[in-house]
Amino acid sequence: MKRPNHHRRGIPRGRPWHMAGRAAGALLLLANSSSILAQSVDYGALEQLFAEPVTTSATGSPQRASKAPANMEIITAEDIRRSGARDIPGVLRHIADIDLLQWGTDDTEVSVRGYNQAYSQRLLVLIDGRQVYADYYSFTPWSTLPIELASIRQIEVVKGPSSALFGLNAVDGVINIITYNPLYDDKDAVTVSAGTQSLTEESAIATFKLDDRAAARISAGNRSDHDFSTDVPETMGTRPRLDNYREAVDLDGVIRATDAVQLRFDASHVNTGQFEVDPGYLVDFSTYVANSVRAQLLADTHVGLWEASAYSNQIDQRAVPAVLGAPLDFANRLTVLKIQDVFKIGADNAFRAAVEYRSDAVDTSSVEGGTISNDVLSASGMWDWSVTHSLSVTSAARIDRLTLARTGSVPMGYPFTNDDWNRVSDEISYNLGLVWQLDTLDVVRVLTGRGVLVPNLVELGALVIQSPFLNLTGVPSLNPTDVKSYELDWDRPIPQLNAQFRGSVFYKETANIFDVSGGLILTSGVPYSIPTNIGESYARGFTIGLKGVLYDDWRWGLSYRFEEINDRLSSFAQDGKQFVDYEHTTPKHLIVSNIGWARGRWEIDGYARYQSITEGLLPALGGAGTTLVPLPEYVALDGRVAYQLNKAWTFAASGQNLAHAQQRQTAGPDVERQLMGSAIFQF
Amino acid sequence: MKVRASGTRRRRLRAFVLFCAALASGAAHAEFALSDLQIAARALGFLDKPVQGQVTAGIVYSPANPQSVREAEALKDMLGDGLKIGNVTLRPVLIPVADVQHSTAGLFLLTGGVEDAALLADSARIKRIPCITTDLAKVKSGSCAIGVRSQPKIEILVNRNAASGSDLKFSAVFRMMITEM
Repeated sequence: MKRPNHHRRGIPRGRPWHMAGRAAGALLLLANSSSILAQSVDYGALEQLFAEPVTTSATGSPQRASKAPANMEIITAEDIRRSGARDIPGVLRHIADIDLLQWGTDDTEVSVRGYNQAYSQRLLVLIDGRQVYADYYSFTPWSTLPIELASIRQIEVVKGPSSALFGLNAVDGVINIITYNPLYDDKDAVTVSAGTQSLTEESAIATFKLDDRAAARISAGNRSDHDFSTDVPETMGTRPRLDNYREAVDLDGVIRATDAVQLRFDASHVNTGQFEVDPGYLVDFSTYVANSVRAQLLADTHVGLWEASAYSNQIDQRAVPAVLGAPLDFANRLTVLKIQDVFKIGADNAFRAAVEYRSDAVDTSSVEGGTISNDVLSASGMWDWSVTHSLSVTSAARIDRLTLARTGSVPMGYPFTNDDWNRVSDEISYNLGLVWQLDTLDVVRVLTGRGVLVPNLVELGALVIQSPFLNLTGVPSLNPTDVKSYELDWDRPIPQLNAQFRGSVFYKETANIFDVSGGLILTSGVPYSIPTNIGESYARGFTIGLKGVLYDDWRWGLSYRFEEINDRLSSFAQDGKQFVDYEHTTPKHLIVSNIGWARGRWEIDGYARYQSITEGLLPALGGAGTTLVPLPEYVALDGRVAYQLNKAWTFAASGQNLAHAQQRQTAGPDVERQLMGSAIFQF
Repeated sequence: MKVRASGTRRRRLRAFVLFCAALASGAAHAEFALSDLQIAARALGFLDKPVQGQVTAGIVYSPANPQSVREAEALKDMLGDGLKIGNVTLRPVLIPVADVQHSTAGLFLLTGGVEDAALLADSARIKRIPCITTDLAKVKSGSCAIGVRSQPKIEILVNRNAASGSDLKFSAVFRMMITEM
């Protein structure tokens, strides 16, 4: 099969990069005025010093994980290796509070604490702080991430809204994937894998150090597989019988310009195609070409740790057959410029101040000729106050000014003009966190936050489909979804078990939920179906978890989550009739457990995931909306066995959904047992 | 060789015993454990002029205080002929507190029970070298710039005035992650 590479539109250049260059120059001057040591966050050295992971994903300021004002899981490189997973959703499925909808071998929806759906919207995903969440369609196509598992230092999972730090769309959680810094970490490996579903995969990373001041890492991957051969429910449409594929390359370079300044550059290209389920719960085969470039400057100065960064993401998606049989072709260009300073005033107060500009645009499809853009200017700040040695209070806020616009032509009979998109709105998000070290063992966190999910560009008007009996379009009048969260956490080590306990109680309110359908505009001709806001939702629940190490060789973990969601939707959208239903599709009970043993050359790990009975959404017969179908409870078993032959060679066998040849986990096709063998060569 | 190996084993055993004792005694105990030294040495890597290579570690003690003498001897044994931690190798030398101004050490390790710490603070400031202790009260009083503690949780306390007086500048990232006063 010829693999499409429809990279057509150039990455915007000129003004944004020019501005970034000026900012970089100013920072170089500032840094040269100081002799203070340059330090981007050297995760390895800091982790060794504090004997625990460090993170910047809670407040933007570097922190020890135990002191971060957020409910956070940090998945280490060892966890990733021992998961046996072949992709990031495969790693995340072993983590407490993570919900999954695995539609196919390469397409899995991931969410935090329920609220999952096709093209899951409410989880923001980043690589080293660069957004890889595709916000033209509000989802993360995981295969387009230009990252090999061996190049990941840690995956930071933040549960709850983090819009005050990361911006729009970080409403239920954030996944920030931290890669190794080539200046500090010399990682070189080649992995070759083969498995069921005709899987073949090759992955390589190599680090080149020119000297102590310059280093680069190149990583590349190639994968192909057949998708599951299980039946696709009839109402989900005709399934394209194409092979999934992924080709990715990434170059990450760091230069220590002076003792106080580091420059980091990153460029990536991914070409992928996959069977997937779209927001209307129809199957399609989507091809993606994703490119990105990024420049980042870090300067440790006498007025704090400055960061100036600029990046541009370009993603072209073609979906066939898609809605009403019309092929969709979206070309999204996102450019982000950001300047941030993290500094301390006195001994007890740390601050972060940042300004950010985002330019986000996509062309209309399938009726071409228009461009929808949403430019955002943001200012944000954070104050971390160490009130006493055992009590700290962190407050963060952000304001985003959104400027929506449409340019280009409108189709005949279209019920809007471009002027209808001339809208400016302000969105405020915040996070408040209190971390209280009660005694030498107990830590309590009280957290609250507000996050904002903006309607994506497709829902705002980039989708325009005309057919003889029904037209579809996005509209400029959708209101953003507003998520407020309240949480109480308690951490306590249990020395007798060499284990760590964490308990969390949470409550979440969601207002202005929007749906891809539900509205109708009558015209003199064919009516237009439009997305609309359909109501509210309330979630409450708790999670308890333990993880520990026994006799040095054994590690284990067990967590249980209870969650109950109450949707209050417009009457026409209740009970799963309109593509959104969180109340019935979120499992009440979720248990995740693992046990692993490692000694000498061997590593053996097993994972179990239990999900209670729930329901799933399927397109209704006749094509009007959706309907709920019951889903049984299930236990999915995963595992990995690895043997390290010598310093260079390791051989591993791993599997996912091991207990059954095929298993019903979603309303879509049943998942199949997946087995994989790998040879890893480290040099 | 046998004698050296035996000596090394003894030092390791003693360090291990000291480490276990520190673990058992918890936060109230202020004596240096091996893990405290590791934290201290790694922390010095975050200075603008990182302490690295062979460094003479002046163990400051009070000859009049038996506890201080005992702790200084134990610390000297722990460091042996030179303890390598990361990029630093610490070579011990015992310094009575009255002699600190004549010392050529690259850093001071302050034991407990030293009363005349003002002399030490002055010397650290004049020589522009770090003073490290596990007695956090000495950091709070400004007698020593850096305090470390590995149990029950890792803590690093820096007295900003004392550090500034000794011309010690830590990276912004490091400062965000420690306790300053």
